[in-house]
Amino acid sequence: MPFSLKVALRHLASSPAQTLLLIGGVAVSAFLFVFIASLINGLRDTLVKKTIGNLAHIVLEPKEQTARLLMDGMDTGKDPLILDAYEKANFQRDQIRNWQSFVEIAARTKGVTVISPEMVGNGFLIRGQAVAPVSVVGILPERINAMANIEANLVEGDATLDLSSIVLGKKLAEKLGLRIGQSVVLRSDRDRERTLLLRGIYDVGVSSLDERIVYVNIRVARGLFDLAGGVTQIELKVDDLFKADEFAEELASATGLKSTPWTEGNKSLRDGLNAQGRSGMLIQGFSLITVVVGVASALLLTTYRRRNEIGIMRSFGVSKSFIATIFVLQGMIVGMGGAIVGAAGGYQLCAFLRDSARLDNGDPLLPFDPAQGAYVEVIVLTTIGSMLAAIWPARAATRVDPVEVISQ
Amino acid sequence: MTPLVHVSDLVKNYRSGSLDTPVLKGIELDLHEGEFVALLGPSGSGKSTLLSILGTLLRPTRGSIQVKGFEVVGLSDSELTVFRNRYLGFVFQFHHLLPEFTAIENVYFPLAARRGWETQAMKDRAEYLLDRVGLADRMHYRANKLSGGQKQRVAIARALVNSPLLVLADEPTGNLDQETASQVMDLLREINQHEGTTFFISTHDSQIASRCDRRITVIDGKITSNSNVQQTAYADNE
Repeated sequence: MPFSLKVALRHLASSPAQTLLLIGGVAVSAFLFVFIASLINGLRDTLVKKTIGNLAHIVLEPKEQTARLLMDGMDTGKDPLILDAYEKANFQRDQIRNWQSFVEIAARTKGVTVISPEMVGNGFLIRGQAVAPVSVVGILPERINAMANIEANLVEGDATLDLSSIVLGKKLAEKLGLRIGQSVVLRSDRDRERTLLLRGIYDVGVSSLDERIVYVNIRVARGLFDLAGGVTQIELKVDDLFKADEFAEELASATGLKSTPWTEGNKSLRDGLNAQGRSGMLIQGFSLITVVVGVASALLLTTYRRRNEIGIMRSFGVSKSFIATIFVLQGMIVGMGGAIVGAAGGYQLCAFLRDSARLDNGDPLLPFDPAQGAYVEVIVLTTIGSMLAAIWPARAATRVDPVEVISQ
Repeated sequence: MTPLVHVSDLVKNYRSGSLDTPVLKGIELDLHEGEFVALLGPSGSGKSTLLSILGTLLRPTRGSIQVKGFEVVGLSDSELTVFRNRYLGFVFQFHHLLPEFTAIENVYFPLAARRGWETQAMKDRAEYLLDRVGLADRMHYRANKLSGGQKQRVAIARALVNSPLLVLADEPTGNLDQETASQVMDLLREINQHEGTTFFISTHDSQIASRCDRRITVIDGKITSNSNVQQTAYADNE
């Protein structure tokens, strides 16, 4: 063991009460740091899970086609914008024809966990005189749970999508007075219609899904939207949805398709989460400042208490750097010890609070995530902070005049 | 013969505001290897200042100090720190031991602090010295568990741990009862005679001074007398 470390430990051990108090003070700050990290990260994940959990993290779609100028409106005296609109309307309808190759690319991309090619469009669900606008999602039958776990959220029937089945949300079924096994007409915005039998009713708790989305077999959807063979979009999920932007960029360059991460459509959620994260960092920053001030003041007092010993050490040729090292090591020991104790305490409390009460669906009442307590960060930052805090007392110690001490 | 320490024209002024107060006024002094020298003088005469300057803890206002012909006055702080650690030993009126450390740790502390690590050689040296000062059975006692005389013996062992050229002792018996003071002086003398270590001992006790080879008296910042107690080989210096 380096001799300076032995001296530092001996100094700390000589005043156990003061050392424990000091470590306790650091531990409280580290505890607060972990508590805030665990709460904010848990809250973020809960919010994202609730809002994004049943949606795609990334959507691949055909690139929007740019209108070509067929006629210069300025020359003809016509409004060029009208020319644009006229021409866009005449483009071929957007679809991904060779979608299988894009699915393969997505499957090869590390981090992509779920892939669902879909035929999506708008339509109306008609039962007698009742009509409801809906978003039609035509999917491969085996991938009905790809985005939202429909099967797990079924309240009636099942989710088998054959060529005559439709699965829809509870609110929509109530609106149209539909029951399992009853028929309903689905008319697309291409004015094609098909009579289908209600196979399953789900309730995922997200209004946008429960009131609006109907699931049909992708082959049924192709017929309804008059797009044989292709898909309109490929929906993806990734293992880290907070890196969806990076994944989207990678996929865009790999496929040449338009790649939209969830963050684009949920800007306010993202901004809210960012603001929440910044608030947490502010509190964590203050807790670190508390550590620095606490450690610095305590070690400064130690410097005054040990003036005689420091002076004597200087008299028999102990270098200033050795004396400074003793104090910096004391800061390091106190910081690291306090951080470990505080982090352990923070983990225990956050785990207890998470498990203490749960909602009906099994989710914790208090959205703590002890796994995201930023333990490495708190230990590293607190240790560094404490070492930096010890520099001031260390410098004061090196300035002790041995002659003054001896003469006293 | 080159003296171990040669001091010439040593002046020290303390500045208080715009006023310079002279404390040492042109000290001329030689100390030879193996000498056992007493420094006498009343309080405020400049004894402690002279000792601090010789110990390189204080810089003189003017003058020269050569140790074995090597000028030390112009050295930097860090060089002086190394110089003290390697070539000087200090014994103070108060033992100034480190209370959290055992006797043996206190003794080898200067060596371990310089090296950065403890070594067996240091421990062996410390054990030897503690044995020499009669504390073989107290080696692993914490400093605060020792008596006053024992603490001063540990401080003497600490002063000797680096086999110094010169030990500077500032009233080493000043805080001890007469019997213990006599034992400590016997010990210093024995070490001086057996190991040839040079001692420069500040005292105001004439009995202590009478046990030294030479007595140097400082009054009002000047050496007023420099005489041998017994006939020694250094008579030609006087």
